Amino acid sequence: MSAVVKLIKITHIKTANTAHSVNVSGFGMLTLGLACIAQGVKELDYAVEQEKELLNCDNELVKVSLLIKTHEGKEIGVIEKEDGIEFIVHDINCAITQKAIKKIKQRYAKHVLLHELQSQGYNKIKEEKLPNGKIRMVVERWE
Amino acid sequence: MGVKYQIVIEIDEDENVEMETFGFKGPDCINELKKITKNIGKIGSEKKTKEYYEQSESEKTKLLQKQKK
Repeated sequence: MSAVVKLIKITHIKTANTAHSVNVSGFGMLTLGLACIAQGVKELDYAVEQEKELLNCDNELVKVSLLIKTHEGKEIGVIEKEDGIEFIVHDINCAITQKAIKKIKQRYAKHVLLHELQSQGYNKIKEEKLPNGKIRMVVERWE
Repeated sequence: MGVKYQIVIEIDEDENVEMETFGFKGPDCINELKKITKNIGKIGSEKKTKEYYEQSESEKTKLLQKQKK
């Protein structure tokens, strides 16, 4: 029986310190924020490299922690700042890139949430992608 | 036998998250969701279902204790 429905917006998990480093297969140790991005990118099957450079929309070369390449070859850089994850792209108006960022952010939200839930004793028992694009998960714990 | 607590979560492509609790009674469900979300997001809105107004186990125990006195 349901009890309460809440709507929230995932903002950012405060993770930019080594105490919250996570070992992600294929990446090594990452801060929790970057680890959540990396895990999401792996699920989307995008290519990703660490510690690269990328031209931003102002044609400046920027160092990024993760460089993601979409299936269409579009490059998206990721850096972590104190107040959140920042995405760096060259063509800010590219619809393909923006769609890819949305997908990455959705997976990021999923992994941030899962990390928090697991730390509070929950286990994921089901996950599915709904026709409307939403990710649906069921978690449970026993007491 | 233990008590099972479940949460169903839906995340859309704009990172909006909808969470629905199962197995909790009364304010326990809100407190649980507040605990989960306090470090990671802000609450947009909440909707209480009829189970919210049922007494939680802890409240029932308190009430029984009062009645015994």
